Amino acid sequence: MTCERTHEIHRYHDGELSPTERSAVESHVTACAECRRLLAELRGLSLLISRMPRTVLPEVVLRRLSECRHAATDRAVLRIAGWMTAAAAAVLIGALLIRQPVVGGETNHRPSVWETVAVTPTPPSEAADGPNSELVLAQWMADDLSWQSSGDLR
Amino acid sequence: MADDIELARLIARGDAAAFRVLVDREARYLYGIAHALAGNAAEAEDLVQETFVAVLAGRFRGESSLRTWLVQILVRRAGMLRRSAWRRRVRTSLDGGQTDHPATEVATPSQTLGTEARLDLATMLECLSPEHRAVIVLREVEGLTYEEMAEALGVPRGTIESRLHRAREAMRKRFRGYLQ
Repeated sequence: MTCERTHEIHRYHDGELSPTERSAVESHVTACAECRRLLAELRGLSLLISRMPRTVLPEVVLRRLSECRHAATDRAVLRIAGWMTAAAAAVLIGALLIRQPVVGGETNHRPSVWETVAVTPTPPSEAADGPNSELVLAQWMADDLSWQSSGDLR
Repeated sequence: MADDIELARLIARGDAAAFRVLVDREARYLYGIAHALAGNAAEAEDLVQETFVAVLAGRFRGESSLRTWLVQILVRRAGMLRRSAWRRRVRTSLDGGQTDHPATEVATPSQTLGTEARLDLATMLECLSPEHRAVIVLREVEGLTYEEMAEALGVPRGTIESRLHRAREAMRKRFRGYLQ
């Protein structure tokens, strides 16, 4: 389009001009072939669209729309329930993370007393009466047997 | 306007009868726009339903008529829905794939649907972006003025004019064969 008045042609076609402006455009259109063609095509386009069948709202859809109020309420309830479930899960996970040390990862967690005791080797004197007494007994028997073996060899 | 505010207030408070009044009054109008924008019945119904649900949430402030406000919501939602589909089509086109209706191709009656066949609006609007589609539907189908469209779409009047001209330019190029 080379004519600078094409915007006015659209406004003219859409009935958006004052009577004075309309007269000015009508005079221009008689002299400008480009705008005349544009106006004819705009009218053709509007005519084409206006002749197309209009969509009619089916009665069944109208009924569904009238009832969508209940569906919306149900959806809102479900959404709130979903949020509450997610919040509860987040609180639970958060609590577990605070209580549990990170396994295998670097952490600033200071071991508690029972953890220190659990991993500290038990002194032999205490071990005899403790839970490792079987181990001490086995060691003693091994030493005794090895002593007997060396005596037999002599 | 006062009636609109009262109606919206009753609906937000859960008045079922008021909601039915609104649906009876506006559903046909909104469905016509929704169908033209979406191009199919299922999406049109969803769009209208979502639009009515916005009234239930009590978001109407009475700054425009209830109908204009509903159209605004409907067009915005339709735009969101179609924009992703539009981007997919453009991306396909840029990747060298085929789009359904390349914008540069000129359609004529004998070329696409047969001489006696009539174009349908959804097919015509396929060549337009969601913004251009909205202005064509509101102007050419619903007959809104520039001011009414500006209010419904929440953009300046100049933007409406520019979108309308570009949309018509695209349609004139593509459907020139039908405009003789």
